[in-house]
Amino acid sequence: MAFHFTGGQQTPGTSHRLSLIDEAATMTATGHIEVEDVWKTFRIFQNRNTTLKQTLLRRGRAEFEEFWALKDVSFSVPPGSTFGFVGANGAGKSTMLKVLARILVPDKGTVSVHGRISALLELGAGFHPELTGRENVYLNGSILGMSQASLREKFDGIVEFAGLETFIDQPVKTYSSGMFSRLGFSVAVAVEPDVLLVDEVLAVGDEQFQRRCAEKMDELRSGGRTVVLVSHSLAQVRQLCDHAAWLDHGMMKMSGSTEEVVDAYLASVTTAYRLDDQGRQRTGSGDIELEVEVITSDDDPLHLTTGDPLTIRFHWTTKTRMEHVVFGFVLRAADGYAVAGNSTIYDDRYATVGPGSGQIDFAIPSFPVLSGSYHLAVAITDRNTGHVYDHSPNIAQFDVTSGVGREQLQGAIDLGGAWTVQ
Amino acid sequence: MAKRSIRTASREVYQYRELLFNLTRRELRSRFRRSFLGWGWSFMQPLMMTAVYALVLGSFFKVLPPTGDPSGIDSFAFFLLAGVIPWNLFAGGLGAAVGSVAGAGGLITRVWFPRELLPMSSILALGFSMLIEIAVLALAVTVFYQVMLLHLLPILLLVCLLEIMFTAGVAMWLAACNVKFKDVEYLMSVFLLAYFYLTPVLYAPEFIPDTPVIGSLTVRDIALMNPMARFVMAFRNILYDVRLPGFETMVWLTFWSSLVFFLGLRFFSRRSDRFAEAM
Repeated sequence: MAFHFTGGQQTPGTSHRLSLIDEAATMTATGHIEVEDVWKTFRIFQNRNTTLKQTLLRRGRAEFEEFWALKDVSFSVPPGSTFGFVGANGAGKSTMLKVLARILVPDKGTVSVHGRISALLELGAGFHPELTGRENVYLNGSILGMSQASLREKFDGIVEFAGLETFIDQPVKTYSSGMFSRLGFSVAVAVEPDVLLVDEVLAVGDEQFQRRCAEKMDELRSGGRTVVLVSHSLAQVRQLCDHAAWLDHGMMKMSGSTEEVVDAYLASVTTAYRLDDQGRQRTGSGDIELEVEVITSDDDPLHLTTGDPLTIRFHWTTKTRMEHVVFGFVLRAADGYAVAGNSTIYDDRYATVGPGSGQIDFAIPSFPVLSGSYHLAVAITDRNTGHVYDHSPNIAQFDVTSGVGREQLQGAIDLGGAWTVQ
Repeated sequence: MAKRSIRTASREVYQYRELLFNLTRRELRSRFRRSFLGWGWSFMQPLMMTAVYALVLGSFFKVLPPTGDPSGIDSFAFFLLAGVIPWNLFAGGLGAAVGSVAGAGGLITRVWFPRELLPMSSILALGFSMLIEIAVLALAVTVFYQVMLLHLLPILLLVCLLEIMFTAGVAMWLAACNVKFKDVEYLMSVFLLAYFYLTPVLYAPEFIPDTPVIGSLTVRDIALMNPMARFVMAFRNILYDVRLPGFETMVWLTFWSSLVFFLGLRFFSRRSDRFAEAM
């Protein structure tokens, strides 16, 4: 299912970018990406020969299955446009990015990327914990292909963008994960790449930094850089991308204008949930399974009174050790309105779980929500990729009564304030 | 797709030469960071090794050092140091480089750069430490024996370069194998131990029996085909005897170093495209 959009096949919204460039020039222009009939296989080893003894015993034959991560993928990205990949986990999106970044080499097919590439696959990859921020900027910059001269020139800008002026001469092992990512992003965009490959990394740091990342991305895009993006956030793909492609089990299922592709993809995934043994809707890979218990001071978990203590207990089960795990919940009213929510996203203490099972609690000393019917949506996800392990939009329901003395209150929340005469 | 050729690899290494220096600097900086003696540690190892051998061989076994010709130096410690320093570059370089690729999985799976730089920078960092060690030894020779060896500096640097190339060639081969087979690291340390005693570091080549084995070829002739033996001899010529190494030795070293470097680079670069998958 090959596709090329050069010249005539541009969608109206983006044609201005290429209207002055003829098709022939587009093919070799800086920032142009051309991928033709790319196949990539991985070997899944049952018994991998990792020692010489094993190799000798099996006479060099390891048992493996071939797994085609990419099957006959072709596309081209015109210079200066933004291209997005959507698809389920394991569909080959990240593999495709790694092929573009030259980290993986395809088994068949050709890939040509014109211009300098910078890949934001993981921020701060290659930072050495013992070295200072300053030393790491120079080291990481040169790993990304920058010259010492241009690094010296851009150094102040990099540090300022990361907001790390006071910490730049500290070893990076003293940095918080947010500081680490900020510095990594600053260096990666300072490369001024012709082609920027982005894999989910914009989901790091605090809100302010995310906004600055988004601004920087806009700046790069409007500066004529080509961007290829993999994101689980369909809203982000819609907002940023001129074109999109939908990968499904390594094959190009659809490509074209972002709206069409995202709509088609969305239509297919919204039906792809399953029901658990209690008839509750579940999505996610199931690598970690969640059960939620609502603990109230009454013995009846289905009913509570405003102002009572409430604990939401997450029981998790997993067969393997998982890192970068985020627990989260949203409390919704009967009409679907999100009343409140919280997650462990910025707290590393709960980020590693398993193997086995365990529980973590979210304790509310005084539940401020007023009368009504509520339900809990819960999810356990990967912080870096947004990958969903388990998600249920409605795992538990309960009714709340406002209780004596709160009959006159309006809205959904008891603010707990008091009237006084001044 | 075609395997990465040695020409492509060489061109890319050259393009990324600044990264090579940065990675070397990273090795050097992180090695002794936050240790009390800092750089002093890089001298401790050869000094300690020499002191122990000098004690055991010189004092217990009463081995007499050959007198340096024409320098007249007759110190067993200096004799040993001149051999221990090049041996340490080889053994230490391999030790640092063999795991350099397998240990950089985080980098290799996330960003592309010529993978050759990883083993090369490990060797270069040790080469740099070796130059300092040599400078200190040369200074000591000058002070204690009033012999100038500054005129031998160009040939000394050439021998250093050849040994760095030789070590890098072996290291690239081992590092590429180590990505797939983790026991290369352990096997290597066993072989290095045997190789150490077969290389005339603790003794002069004249100790090797001169008895013919095949035709007129003697045991010593065979032992001296070993490139490391030639490196130790060349360093000893310069730093202990204070004279130019023999022409035959230099030819031998140039031949071995170029061949081993070429084959190592070729072996490594043809496999480097697959490293990320093996991680």
